[in-house]
Amino acid sequence: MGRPRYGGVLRVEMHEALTNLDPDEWPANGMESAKEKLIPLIFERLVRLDENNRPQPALAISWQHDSKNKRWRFRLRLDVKFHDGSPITADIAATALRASAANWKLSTQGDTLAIDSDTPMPDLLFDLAQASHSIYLRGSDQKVYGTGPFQLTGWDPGKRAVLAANEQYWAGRSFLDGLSIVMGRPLAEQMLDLELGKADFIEVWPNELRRLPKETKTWSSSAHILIALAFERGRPASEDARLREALALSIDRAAMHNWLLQKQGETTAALLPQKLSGYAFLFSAKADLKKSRQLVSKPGQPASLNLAYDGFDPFSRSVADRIVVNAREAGIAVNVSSRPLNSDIRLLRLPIRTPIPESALASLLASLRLTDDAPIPDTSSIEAAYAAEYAALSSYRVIPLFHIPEIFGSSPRLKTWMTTGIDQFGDWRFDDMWLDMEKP
Amino acid sequence: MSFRTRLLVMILLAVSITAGLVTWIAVVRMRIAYEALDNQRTAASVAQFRQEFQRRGEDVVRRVEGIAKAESIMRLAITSNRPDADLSQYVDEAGSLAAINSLDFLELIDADGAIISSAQWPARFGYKAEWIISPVDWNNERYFLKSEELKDGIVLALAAVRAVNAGDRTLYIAGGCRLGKEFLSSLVLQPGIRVLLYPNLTQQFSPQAFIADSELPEPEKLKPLAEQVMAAANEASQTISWPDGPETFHAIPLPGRGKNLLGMFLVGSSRRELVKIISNIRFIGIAAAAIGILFGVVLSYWVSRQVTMPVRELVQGARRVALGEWSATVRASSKDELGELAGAFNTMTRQLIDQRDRLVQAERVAAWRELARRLAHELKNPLFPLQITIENLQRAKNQAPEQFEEVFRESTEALLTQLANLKTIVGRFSDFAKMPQPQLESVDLNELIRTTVRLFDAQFRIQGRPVIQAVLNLDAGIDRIQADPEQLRRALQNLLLNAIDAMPQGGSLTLCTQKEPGTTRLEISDTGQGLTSEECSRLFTPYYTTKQHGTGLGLAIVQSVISDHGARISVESEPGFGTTFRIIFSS
Repeated sequence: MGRPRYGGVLRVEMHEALTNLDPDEWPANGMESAKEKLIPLIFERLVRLDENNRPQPALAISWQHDSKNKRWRFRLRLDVKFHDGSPITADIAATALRASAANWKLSTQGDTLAIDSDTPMPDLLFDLAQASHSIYLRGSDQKVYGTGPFQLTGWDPGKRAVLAANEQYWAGRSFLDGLSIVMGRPLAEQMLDLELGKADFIEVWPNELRRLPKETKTWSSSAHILIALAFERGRPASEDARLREALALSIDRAAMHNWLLQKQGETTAALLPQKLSGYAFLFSAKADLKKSRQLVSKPGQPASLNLAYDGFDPFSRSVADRIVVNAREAGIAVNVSSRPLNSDIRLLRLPIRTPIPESALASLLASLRLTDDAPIPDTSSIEAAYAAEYAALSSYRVIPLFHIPEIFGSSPRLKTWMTTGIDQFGDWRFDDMWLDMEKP
Repeated sequence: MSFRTRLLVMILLAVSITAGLVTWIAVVRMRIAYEALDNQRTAASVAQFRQEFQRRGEDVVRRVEGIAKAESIMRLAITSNRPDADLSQYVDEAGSLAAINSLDFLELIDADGAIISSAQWPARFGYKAEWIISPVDWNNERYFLKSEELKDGIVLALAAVRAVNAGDRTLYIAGGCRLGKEFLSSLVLQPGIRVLLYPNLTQQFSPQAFIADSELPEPEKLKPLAEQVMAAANEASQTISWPDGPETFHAIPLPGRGKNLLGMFLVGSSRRELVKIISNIRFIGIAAAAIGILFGVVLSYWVSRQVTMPVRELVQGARRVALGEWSATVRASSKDELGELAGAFNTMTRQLIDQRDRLVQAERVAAWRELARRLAHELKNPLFPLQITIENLQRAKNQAPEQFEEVFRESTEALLTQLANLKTIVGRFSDFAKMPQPQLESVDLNELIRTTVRLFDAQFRIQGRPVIQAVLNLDAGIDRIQADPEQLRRALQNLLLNAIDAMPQGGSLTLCTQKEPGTTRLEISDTGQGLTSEECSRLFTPYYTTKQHGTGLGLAIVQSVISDHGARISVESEPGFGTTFRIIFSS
């Protein structure tokens, strides 16, 4: 590995098309994957997680909390400036956090920011590491400025974002001069652009790995994306528990893992990955076609199910098609469509962005809308989380299929210095990457 | 039906039957010719289908063989020999190979029958295609028809399989082309011909399964034909009636490898042209018939006019003769049968006039003779006593002058009596001859009857004769009638006198009046000796009498009076049961 070099603009392509980066539209859950990746490049949080999921100082250089985890004190880094040149203050940070976490009691004193709550907040540091709790400054011109390694210099909504290196970045200027991010680019065209040298960094779906040119460098996160089937509530077919179970038992996850995922990630029948929860193995992911057929052959069985998938995601399409084949073997007719209207089932792709299992499960359950008409299950302990997950899965309203990683491909010119380039949740660490300009 | 009408009907029938016959013959000949042509067109289409089927099948075989020889397939076959082979990397291989080789279907299948890669249904990787591992030398097999299961249903395919042997294991390449609308569109068809495919892929007939190169609005009409072919697996034909005309379908079964029937090919030959031609022929036939009928009407009118005019003149002449115009004649303008008939008619009328004149003459002579006979008979009776009396006077003057005075007195009394008789006789004849016209006035018939009957009371009770009982049964409700009371009384008196004469042994004389709708009826019945039917029929004839001393004018006068009053008289009688005279007056 050679020494890193400064310079060069990294050409990034992504299939999602963002229309804005306004902090007012940073939801705590369900933020678009692309936004999760772009925000950390421009904005920073008080705390970040390292590769071992340990909180590390970011805009906060130190913190303290009381014994009950109800009162936290953060001391801010003082030499940090926003992209407009304004220095960061505790008041600015408190204003930003107030917008993203209304239930926190925020107060400041000098360079110290206090967060108080009536309930214990043992995982506050992990929460603060979420992109939704990024610190920003809304200037008098109503523009939003961050403190991240890159600053936004060009924005064509839904099409292109241009970022330049933050020369004043407190952790040192990035090696790259800037980023040119093309949005709304289909995956097949991203691959073609990479091959033709028109892009440096692209998204890759697991089933497309085999098609990548041999010289392509791949970057992979941990298997933090849950692929699952979720039955819609209120649909006649969805309300048939026997049919839901029959469909769950008909799915041959292993074949899909081998053939479609190219053995990337893992099959699962649980919401949380085994690595995160430790109990995922208790949920059987094996297909039982015989039992599935028995369930289907009973009277009163609806003839068919409508399955909706993300039309922009060819991997989802492949999984949906395979489920059609598996279900047909069991005697269930499944129609697939990229339109969610009138669908009985949706094929979901749910990112898990916290290393805390209880929080991750709560976030997933909220995303799956399993708790609309029931009390929010207790996930405060791992035992409670298991009970909540078992209860959620026993009705077969959600059928977990896989936990898969996020994979990116790049030209071999792209190199990293101190980090892996992509963290465990798939976030881009372009501040640590550099382009080897000498190689073609 | 008149002669003219009959002639017209005959001509119309002749024209219509001729036109219909000609049209029918033309239609039958046209139909036979069209059937032959249709069979040729259908056979040509079927032959073209078979040729195209074979061409495409051989093309599929060539392409599958080409894929089997490709380097990537050889690599895959070698890889599949490895015990730890990861074949998942080939999951998309079939798709690209199929696209390159223009195949609709392509599956790469390992020696166990597991699908490594499927172009038509990529998600079927890992599933078993067990049919392919049957003991068949695939490399010597030709193309075959196959049902191909896709995500959205089952379709027909022209398929071929080739096996690639690498080491101990075999890799199968199963490829094919879809047998669908594109295939049908490639057939060059003659006008009026269309082709259909019916994939027999479900247990029951499915109208939606038809594949057609043009719109098929009511496919369920083909159900009987499809079911017939499916049941017998033989070719069959059927004519279907569409809204725009009939169409004959010829169905050819399409078996698969196992000889099971996978579908059928149908050639539809439209009979719309035939129907159109037949329609035109019929139109021409009808038009010709119409023109012929029109011409026939004119011709028949002219002919019938020529023929029937003399006949009509004859009819009119006959009617004039019937009305009494015996001098009627007709024109005999032609020298044919009708001219002879007209001449005969004229001769007949002339002869009728001659005969009538002769008859009148004869009747007149006869009448005079009868009158003379009657006069002689009537006058002879008084004359003979006159002659005797005068001879007695002469004899008494010559032979017994002393008794002459007495004889003279007796003789003159007798002469006066006989002369009175002569005068009466002459008066009666004179009365009959001088019957005056009735002077009508409103008359109460019942009162007239009563006064008349009252005059005869003495005669009903003549001493020494059996009594005649007069019974008046008069309806008080009758209307007054318009009549000449004197003439009517005279007629009534004649009838009463006849009745009295008919009952020398006495009896009952009944006079009855009755009001009837629009008429007034008078009946005079006696219980006398009665009359025979012949006597009844001649009763009103002048000078006819059944009595010893009658003139035969009484009832003639009665009938004359009744007739002059616009009434009718009739008689009913039966020998031994009396006689009834019935007079009907109009109200």
